[in-house]
Amino acid sequence: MGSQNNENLIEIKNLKKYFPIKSGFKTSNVKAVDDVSLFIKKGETLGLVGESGCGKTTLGRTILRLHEPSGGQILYNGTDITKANMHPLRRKMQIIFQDPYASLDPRMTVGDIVGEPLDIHKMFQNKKDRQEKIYSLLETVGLNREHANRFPHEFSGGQRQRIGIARALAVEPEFIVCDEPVSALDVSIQAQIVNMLEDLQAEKGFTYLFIAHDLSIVKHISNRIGVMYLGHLVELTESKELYRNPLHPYTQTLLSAIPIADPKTSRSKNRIVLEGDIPSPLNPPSGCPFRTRCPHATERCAQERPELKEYGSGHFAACHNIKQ
Amino acid sequence: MAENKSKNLLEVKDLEVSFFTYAGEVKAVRSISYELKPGEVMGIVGESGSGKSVSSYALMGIIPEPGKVIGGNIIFDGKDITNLSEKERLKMRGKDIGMIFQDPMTSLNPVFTVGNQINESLKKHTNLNKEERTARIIELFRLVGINQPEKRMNQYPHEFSGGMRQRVMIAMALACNPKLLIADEPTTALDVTIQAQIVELLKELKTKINMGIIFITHDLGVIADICDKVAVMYAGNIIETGSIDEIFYEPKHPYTWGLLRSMPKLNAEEHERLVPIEGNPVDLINPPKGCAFAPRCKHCMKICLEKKPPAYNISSGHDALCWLPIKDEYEKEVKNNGKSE
Repeated sequence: MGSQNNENLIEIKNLKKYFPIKSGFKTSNVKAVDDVSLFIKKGETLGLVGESGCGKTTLGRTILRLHEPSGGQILYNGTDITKANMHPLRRKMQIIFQDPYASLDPRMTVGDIVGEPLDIHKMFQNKKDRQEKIYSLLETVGLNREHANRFPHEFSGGQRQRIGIARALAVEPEFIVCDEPVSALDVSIQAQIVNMLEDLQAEKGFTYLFIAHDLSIVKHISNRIGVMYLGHLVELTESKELYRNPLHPYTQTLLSAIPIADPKTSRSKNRIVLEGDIPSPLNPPSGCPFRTRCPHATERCAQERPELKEYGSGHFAACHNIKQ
Repeated sequence: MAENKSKNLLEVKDLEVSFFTYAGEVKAVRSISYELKPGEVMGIVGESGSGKSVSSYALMGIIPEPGKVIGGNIIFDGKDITNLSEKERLKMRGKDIGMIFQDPMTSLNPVFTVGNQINESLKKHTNLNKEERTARIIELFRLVGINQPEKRMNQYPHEFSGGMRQRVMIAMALACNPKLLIADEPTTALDVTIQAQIVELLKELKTKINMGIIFITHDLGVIADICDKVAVMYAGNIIETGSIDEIFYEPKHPYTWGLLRSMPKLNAEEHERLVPIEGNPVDLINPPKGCAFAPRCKHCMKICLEKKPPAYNISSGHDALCWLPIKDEYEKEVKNNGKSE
């Protein structure tokens, strides 16, 4: 976990991302991200969890404007970048992708993959300087200089993810979106990558948005965690507090659904098993998005969408049934 | 019941599977042995490429080309099934041994209704007539928790969500009351809340139907939840096997230690640094001469690099393939001898 101060690096206000779906004359919207507001402090790691299809990846990409937002505002270091030219900003904001097999061009050597961002932003004096920079990046992520001349298919999943990280580090960014960087990796390799991300943060003061569906990894790496459900942010608080005192019923079920690698605890645990599946974002339920699966749902939940309210310092949740 | 308990449903002895590729022979499974009793759930954990799926494909006789079983025996229900002809295999597959595959999105045929696909195996393996088969499918759908079975059985796979498709897969595997169910990463492709539903379902079925289950996964959390005993695989070997408590609380193999330590604990109060297993998995075309884990092992000794360790019996049912406990035992003995003399 990085050291933090109180400056906000990223602030988003009522961010929306809708994907239009055309069927005949009718156009409907998939509300992938609907009205999400949050901030990320300098040097902190904000975790984002939720089931597949809840919009966590879309949110991460919309913040980088890899998707154009349908509404709302994105502030970077206090300036509005919702409409700004992104080219100079790409140097500050980078992304590490989920699938280390699909996110590297199979026809480029590792040296060229890591060097491409340097070319785009013209960050070297001469060829030798470029080469040196590539070597030092590879060494930063625990690879050798010899690897620069090889192709991605010669590497294992964990090593490929290291290449993806080196590419993100090439432009010396401040903010990195880590989009499920370890979910495609084996347990023993996961720990290597997570430790490396932590070391890099301590050394270079990065700010991370860490997206994953594995709550135990997110809890391990994050200072604060946001829980998303069907395009909405339903709870946001410090990671320890989220584990100790989850307020939203969805967070409670999510925590209880995680299998714990300890047979004794797992035998004694009372698990809340949710009924049914996540509803289609094309036709979300009225009112609270979670009410169709919520054990505590009332009349009011169907009519009114709960706002994100603060309960205790820095602990936000969106639910009608939380006792104050 | 007591008699039933002592008899093994499945015995695998020194099973070896190799893939003959252009690059050379890939020894995917290198001499593994285990036993399973009816009503027992055995978990197989290991990283990708450790041979956990291939060893279970061998039971079904569905090892993809260019793979072959090159040694060992598989004894199922008192009968050697290692070298059955394809015709005899067809009689057994889906009837005595059911299998659930990892990816529910691609393991169902998209052009047939799900009812039709379950019907297929019932038609092949049972003497039920059409009405009885429909009744059985409805019963199966109820069993696995699919609502409105009469309507759902006439729908196509794309009309089901991932969790629901996995339920269809389970219903299909259970259709002919198999004695053994092989679940190959049944929850890996699913979300945690859906995973919890499927794990609860399998636990319920295990007590209801008294069948043996082999549960293959890389998630130690799921193992802790559902299994009675565990086999840990690395580079084609079972490097440690034991009851669930023995593996989690008294692991003896350094790889098992590494696996347990490399996972973040959800209930940790302070921030603990993860302890990864350094290095990368071995190349199975040229496996090392000694212990396959030796190059990544922190406790590696000279002998580990030279000689493959034997299976060392720690207690009944708990074995580890490692020189370390043997060394400890030897040192203890030397000490005791020194004292007595």
